[in-house]
Amino acid sequence: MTLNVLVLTDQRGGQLKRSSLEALSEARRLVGKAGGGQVVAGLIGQGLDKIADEVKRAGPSKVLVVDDERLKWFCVAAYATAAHRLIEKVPAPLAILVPDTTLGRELASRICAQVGGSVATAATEISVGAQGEVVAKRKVFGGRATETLGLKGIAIITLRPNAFAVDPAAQGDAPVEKLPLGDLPPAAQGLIVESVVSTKGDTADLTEANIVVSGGRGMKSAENFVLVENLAKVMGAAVGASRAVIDSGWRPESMQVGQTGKTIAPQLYIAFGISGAIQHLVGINNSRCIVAVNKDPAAPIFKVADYGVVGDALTILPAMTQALSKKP
Amino acid sequence: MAIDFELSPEQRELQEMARRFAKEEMAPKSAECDKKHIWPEDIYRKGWELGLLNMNIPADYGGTGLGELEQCIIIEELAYADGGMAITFGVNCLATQPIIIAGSPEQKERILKPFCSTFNIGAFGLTEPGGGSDVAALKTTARRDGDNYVLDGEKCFITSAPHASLFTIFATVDKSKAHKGITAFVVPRNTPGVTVGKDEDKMGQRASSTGSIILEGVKVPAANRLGQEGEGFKIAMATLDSTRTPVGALATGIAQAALDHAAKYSLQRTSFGKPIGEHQAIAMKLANMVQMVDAARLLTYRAAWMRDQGKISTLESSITKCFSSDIAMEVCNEAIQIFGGYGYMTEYPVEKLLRDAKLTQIYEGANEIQRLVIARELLKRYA
Amino acid sequence: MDVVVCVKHVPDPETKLKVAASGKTYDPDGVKFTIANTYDEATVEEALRMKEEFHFGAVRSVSVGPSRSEEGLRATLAMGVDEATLVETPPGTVLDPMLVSRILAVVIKDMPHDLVMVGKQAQDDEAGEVGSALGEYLQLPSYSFVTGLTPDAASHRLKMRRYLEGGEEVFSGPFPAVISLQKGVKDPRTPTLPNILKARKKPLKKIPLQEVLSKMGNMAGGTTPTSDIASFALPPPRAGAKIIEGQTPDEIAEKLIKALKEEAKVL
Repeated sequence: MTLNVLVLTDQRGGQLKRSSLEALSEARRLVGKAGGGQVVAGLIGQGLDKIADEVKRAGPSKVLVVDDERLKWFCVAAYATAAHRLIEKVPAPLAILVPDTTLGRELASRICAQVGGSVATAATEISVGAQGEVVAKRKVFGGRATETLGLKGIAIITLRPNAFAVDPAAQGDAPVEKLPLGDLPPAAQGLIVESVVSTKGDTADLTEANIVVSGGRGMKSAENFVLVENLAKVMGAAVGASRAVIDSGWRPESMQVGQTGKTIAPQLYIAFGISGAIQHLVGINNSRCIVAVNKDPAAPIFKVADYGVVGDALTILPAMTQALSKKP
Repeated sequence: MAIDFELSPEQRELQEMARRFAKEEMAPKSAECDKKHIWPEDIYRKGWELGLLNMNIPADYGGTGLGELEQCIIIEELAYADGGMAITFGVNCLATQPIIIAGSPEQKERILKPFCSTFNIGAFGLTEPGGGSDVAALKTTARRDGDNYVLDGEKCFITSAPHASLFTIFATVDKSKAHKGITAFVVPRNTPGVTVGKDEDKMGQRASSTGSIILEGVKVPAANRLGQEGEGFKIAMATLDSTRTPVGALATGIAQAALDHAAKYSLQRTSFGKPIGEHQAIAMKLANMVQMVDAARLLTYRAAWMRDQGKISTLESSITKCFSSDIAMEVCNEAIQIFGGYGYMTEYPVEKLLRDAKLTQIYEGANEIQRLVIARELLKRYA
Repeated sequence: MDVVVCVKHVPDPETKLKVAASGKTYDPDGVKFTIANTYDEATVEEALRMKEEFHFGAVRSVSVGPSRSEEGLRATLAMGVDEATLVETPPGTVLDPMLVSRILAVVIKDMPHDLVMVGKQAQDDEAGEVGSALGEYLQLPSYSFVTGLTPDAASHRLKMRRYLEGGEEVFSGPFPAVISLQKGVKDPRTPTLPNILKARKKPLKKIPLQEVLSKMGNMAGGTTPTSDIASFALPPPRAGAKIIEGQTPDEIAEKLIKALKEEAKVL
């Protein structure tokens, strides 16, 4: 069986997003699993020479580019038309991988509606079945369940960022081919972007955050609590606190997580120096993944945690902050 | 297929709306209002905007015009979040029901429309320092003087009085006639001679306000008399007939909250190696509790349904009120016991529920009176 | 100028889920359904704002689903929507979001639709596909992740903000269009009790699914789903913490981060 995979990269804002490299690596893995096929990178936008240069070295066998003034700003109907131009150049059986960024998510189903095929969004795992069918696994119901989707025809899949590894060995010098955009339908015209407002630096709301890091009595002092906040910053996480921290006056009530505080259900919850009294657990036990760092091996929190470290939060925290700051 | 134990889709929508309001608006403020004795005007205002405050008043006058079963469904949801806030919503119905029962079309138009069109709280002035259950012995007098009546007397333990703009007051025009002298009046708060006492510090239902109404030479136009002189007792009894079952619903809501807290805790708390819910001592308690709550709810629905069908439901509504309030006390008490030491701490929600439940045995016709009524109605069947 | 809002009737986020006997979906027995998907509620509110603040005409709601979906549509009527339409699917029908988009397109083509609004995604499948797909099937512009919306009737353009990674874009585009809403300007209004009662009298039309499928013609994708759920699974109950060990805090930190990234895939 063969499977050709077209990877649509996301370089909105002028920089190639890391998730595009993840998609390219996954594409190579899929072609390997299918037993053959080509990995084609597809770039859509304007002024793409530098990006094309980067992408061609990241492992695809070919790079196709639709570079047009009319694609300067992201208009999903225009990008879908451009994607159609790319798709025409890659034979079936075809899978299309797109990073599950806002651009990728918006684009995937518009492409599918134009060319036919099937869609799976925010996939965390992709495989190729015995008959060559593409299968995608994804989380549903707020992470409370997992569904496995079998995809027919052109399989268009958006990949959850950070769910797929980038293959460090991927390299190459693929040929770059430019394709014309052609005419745009009326639905793809008239969009004007006036400005971009950056909001980096906002503290994420505790109940809506994907990642929450919390500190408890084991942090020993209000000053030490800053270590939790430092880690949160590099993780893009929200910060919570246990009852003990609030009662000691180290942090405001609004940060309290637990029965008499906030109930949260993030993808990842890391508790530093929190013993895991039932009142706290009630507030966090819907979290997808719970990590506990506590000096006491008998701390009740280890019973509900997925991962645990028996150790001093005060030394583990800075170590983690450092390790995560080293990321490119 | 006559009996249907399912709510209709519309009743479910009303229930869902009340549940959300209770969960999102009332529950977050419940503990604070209890601790600090706060009357949450913003919550009552929001409830008024949504039609929760004047559920009994017909839509023609700006109320929501719900049947008794719908009112019970809603009150139970509100009481689940907070009994004191729920009773405030319920008491507006108590206060205005005399006008609906006995008011003339002119009175309804003149009094109910403005009452509903802006945020208003009403209070029902029947109880006096000298008599609660013994209604016929009330001492507040109403003396006819030309086109007015002059009211003198004192009412106490009146829910919502400290914040009410409108009172329905029961006074006697002739003490010698006992209950046949009692007459009902609508008295606006700002009438000269009306003094409202302070918000009393209560054991529970502390988000509701309770106070005295002192009437000193209060001139009330005869146009504000409801029905005829001497009809007041009947009007009061008919009013209480309509609110008795909703009080049952309120008690059921409190009991359900206690049951939910206790059951969840029983799954999480472990002792001797397993969740306490798996120990027989606790399992027996939970089994008893759910039986009581379930029965209370069914009694409430049945009595409310009868009233909506236009049937006489004195016996059934008394049974409902008496049973639901008694079981609410028992369920809350057991809930505290299941929580053990934690249950006794004010930081945990269950001790408040017991304090809130207690009042349901006392107001809206003390349970002793309910039992007299029940026995009397029962024996009528065998006579 | 009229608005159409598409809503989906989904299980309440706090309800307990069980896997159905088929192993392909959740068992609806005992599941509590919420009145409306959270994003859809915000969208209905935003549609009503178009009517009230910007003097648009009627707001109509549409849903595709089994008969219980009527409850969700009634809730939109209770909020203030003027008319509702349910494409009723017989029991056992399997849909996917792309097919739902085609169904919606067929129905919406026959309604006045200057703005078609959908929520960012449904709380159950979280696919987020309908907005863009519906735009393509209707051959209209589609704008997604919209956080703010100001229409200008004279120029027939919308001024919008849309959420991006790390920021927001201020942009404009023509309408008629399909808008997929990330967030509304106001919190969704709670239906008042009187409005819930009035909603019973507002029109709620039901169209059998077969009728819509027969009108589909040759839309790319056809009348059947193109993705099928091979399995639906709940995670196994927690087994107790996997302890991460190491000689130094740095080693432990590296190991933990690696496990979170590669094993748990939450980082």
